[in-house]
Amino acid sequence: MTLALDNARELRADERRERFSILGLSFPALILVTLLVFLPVGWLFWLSVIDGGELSLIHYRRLADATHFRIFYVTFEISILVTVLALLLGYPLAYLMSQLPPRWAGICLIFVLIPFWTSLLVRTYAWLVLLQRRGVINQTLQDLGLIDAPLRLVHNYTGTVIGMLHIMLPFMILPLYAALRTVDPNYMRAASNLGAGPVRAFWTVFFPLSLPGVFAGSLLVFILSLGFYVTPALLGGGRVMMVSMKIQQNAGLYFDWGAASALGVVLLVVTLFIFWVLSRFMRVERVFGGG
Amino acid sequence: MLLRPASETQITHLGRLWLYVVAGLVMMFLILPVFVVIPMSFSDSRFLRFPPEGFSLRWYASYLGSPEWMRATWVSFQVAVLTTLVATPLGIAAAYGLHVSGVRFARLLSLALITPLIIPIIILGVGIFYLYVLLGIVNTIPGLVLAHSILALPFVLVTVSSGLQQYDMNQELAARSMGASRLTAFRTVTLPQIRGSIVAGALFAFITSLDEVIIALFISGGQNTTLTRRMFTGLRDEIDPTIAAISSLLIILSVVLLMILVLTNRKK
Amino acid sequence: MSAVSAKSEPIRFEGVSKRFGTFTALDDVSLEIGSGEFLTLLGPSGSGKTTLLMVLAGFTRATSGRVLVGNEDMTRVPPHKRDFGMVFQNYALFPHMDVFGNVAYPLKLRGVAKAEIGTRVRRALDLVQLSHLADRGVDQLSGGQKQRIALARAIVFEPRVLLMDEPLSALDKNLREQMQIEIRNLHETLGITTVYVTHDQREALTMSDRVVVIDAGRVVQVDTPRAIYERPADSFVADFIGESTLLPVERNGRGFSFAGMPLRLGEAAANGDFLVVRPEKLGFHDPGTEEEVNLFDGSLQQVVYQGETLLAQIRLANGLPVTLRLSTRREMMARLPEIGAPITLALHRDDTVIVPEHRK
Repeated sequence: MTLALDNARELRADERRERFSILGLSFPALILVTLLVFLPVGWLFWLSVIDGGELSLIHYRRLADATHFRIFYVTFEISILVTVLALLLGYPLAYLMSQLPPRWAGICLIFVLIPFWTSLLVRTYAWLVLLQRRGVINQTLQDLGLIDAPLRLVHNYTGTVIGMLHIMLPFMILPLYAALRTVDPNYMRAASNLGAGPVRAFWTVFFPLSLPGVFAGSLLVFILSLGFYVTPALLGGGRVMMVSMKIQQNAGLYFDWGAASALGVVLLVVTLFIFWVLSRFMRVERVFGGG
Repeated sequence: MLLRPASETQITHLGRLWLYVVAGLVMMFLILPVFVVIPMSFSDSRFLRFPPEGFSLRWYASYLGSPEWMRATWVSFQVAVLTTLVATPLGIAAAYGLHVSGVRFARLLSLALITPLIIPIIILGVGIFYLYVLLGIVNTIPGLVLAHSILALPFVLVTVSSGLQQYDMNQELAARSMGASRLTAFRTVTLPQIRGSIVAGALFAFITSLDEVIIALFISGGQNTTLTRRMFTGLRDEIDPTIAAISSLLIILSVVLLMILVLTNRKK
Repeated sequence: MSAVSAKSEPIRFEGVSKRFGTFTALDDVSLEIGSGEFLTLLGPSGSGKTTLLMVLAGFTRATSGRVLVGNEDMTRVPPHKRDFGMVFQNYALFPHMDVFGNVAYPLKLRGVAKAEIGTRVRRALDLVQLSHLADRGVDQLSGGQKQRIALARAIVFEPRVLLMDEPLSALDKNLREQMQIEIRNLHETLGITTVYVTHDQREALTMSDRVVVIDAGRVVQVDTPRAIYERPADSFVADFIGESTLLPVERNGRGFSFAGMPLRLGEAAANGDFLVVRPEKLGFHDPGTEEEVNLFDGSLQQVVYQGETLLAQIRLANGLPVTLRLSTRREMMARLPEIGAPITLALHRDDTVIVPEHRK
């Protein structure tokens, strides 16, 4: 009996050792992320609640003014607008891709993946070139005689939204396409067999089945938009101030760590909350696989 | 042709012509801005017009002839290669460990590892800058590599994990039953079969680092200014057409890397 | 002397238990497997049969207990040092190697010289009659061929023991039956101790020297296929293996009776709560055999024609249903009465088996 017990203890030790050594393979990555993500972010939390060496909510109280309200309002407004536009433009393409034979769908996918793989900065630059006063679009419209004076397309709200839409579109299309592809065509056959016309079959059967993909793509685009910096900074021309830009300004320009931290914490909490909602809809890891 | 049924509900191609048109326009919207830069980079004018007036390589010459741009390019490539070398093995090890361990909190740990993709990068930038000031590694190559590695790691983790999910772990058991240790089984049986996902993860890591702007704004500078940081500053101040040349080269690089990715993952 | 020689060693499980959290997958299993024996672990899914095999292979660690092969305690030996050949459910062939590469793999790991690898791989492939496929890719093989390659790969390094985890479950019925015989023949050629896991009772009965019936992590019965079928240890085995109807019996002094009628019992010592009635053991009553059989009166309810046999549903006098299986030979069918008519069934006393209720 003692013998069996001894053996049980050894076996448990073996099991634990093996488990630990397997799990241990993830430790270097976890340590790196802890040191460079969790530690600094924790630090920001700490900086946001101290003032002159004492605990204080002063940095948060300072956020409750018209300027900051305006910044948050603009950030949300742009993010919502970009999300809605990305859904409206992305859904038809994702839908068509899900219906095409694999060969053609693959070709369409290339059109989505090339911008997805191209530097965000380069794409923002391309829009700057396209949208500026003497840019391609104004030039073309004037040459065609459609407008007399160049349109103000960039260094403002419009330019920011167009640029962000372009950058976010693949993030909408890829999860949507993944979701739409899994809708079993038999459902549509059944709907058709039961007497629904194409339009009715789409809205009563296909679309409801695609809603998880719609939610996933929309939430993803929304949280990524909330944290945007480069595109509004370059295409907004100083007229558009989003939360990330304000954080950069506070930290990089004024060295006001308290203010930067408090804003950062608010942005982070909102983002993580939406991310949490998103993670209940889908395995978030998939989205970043890039299709 | 147009009247042939196009879907399960027997709608004709003509009946959803509008869908093809809309999808086509969206694809144009996605792709044209990327490629419009290339012809313009060959313009000989200071103003970027389309179609470009006159052909010249002056902006390429201006890029290649500038010690500052060359230095920045060298820094960026160094950082991107080193980031790939750090993030890829770490990501493979983490993906394998979390996949095989079978512990309940494995999913939680893998979520922890992909948080850098979710947290607004500006927050990471500020936080890491603050940390680096204390450590005295602002504006250094190792500092940049470590910071970029945490952004690249999630991509390696995700691609390798999905490779492992499609792979039959029983093969590793079979190898071990035949006398291979865990490491040998991984090296001789698992690794060759998830090579495609590893290449994808590594390319992602490389391009993530190469294209990264925001963190570089905080922690790269002086001798170790990255290409993207210099481009960003250049764009904010005035539109230097040299950037069109650099952008064109970056676009071509992206397309080449994407092609490598597609080709390595094609065989399956 | 066989083409590929193999050692044959006995295996012993001593009080092996495995718990996953609060779930007990194996509950104090003790078992001896003779050298050169073909032993099958049979049980419903989730019974613990695969866990027991995995503990033997070393991929699952027991919570307590010991596993011995020969005289060597293997309990804490890692799988790659056990020298056991194993065939997996889905074959687990390596798709990035050709057939030769797969079969050569264990030999390469053992540092066998190149020339010898060639001859040994060829001999192993000869044994499964697939030497002509050595250069094929794994993807080009049919299911049956994959199965044979997996088998060749598991025996080429002359393992101490051969383990098989539901190796035929992915094959269709005809091929499965053919492979059963081939594996059986291969076992006879090699004489290697073999542990085979299946949930298919017919497969277990066809192939094994002995069958271990497992339920809920416990060994219920270990016996020859014939004994398992003819003399089940309890109601679970009787029910799980073959078709049977369990009729409640009453203890009647030293004997048993069913519906008030004392039962004639054969040489097998019987004890328990249920009479096991298998459809094919029932027959018509032939006058003059009364001393040898037990008789049951009932009425014919329904007849289902199934080709080589037919099934007749009969309601006994006390209302319980039993099933009779008849050959479709003309003279047998002729003896069936009309639907609804009375019928008397006979069960030979040596086939009158009484089993205790299964302990959960």
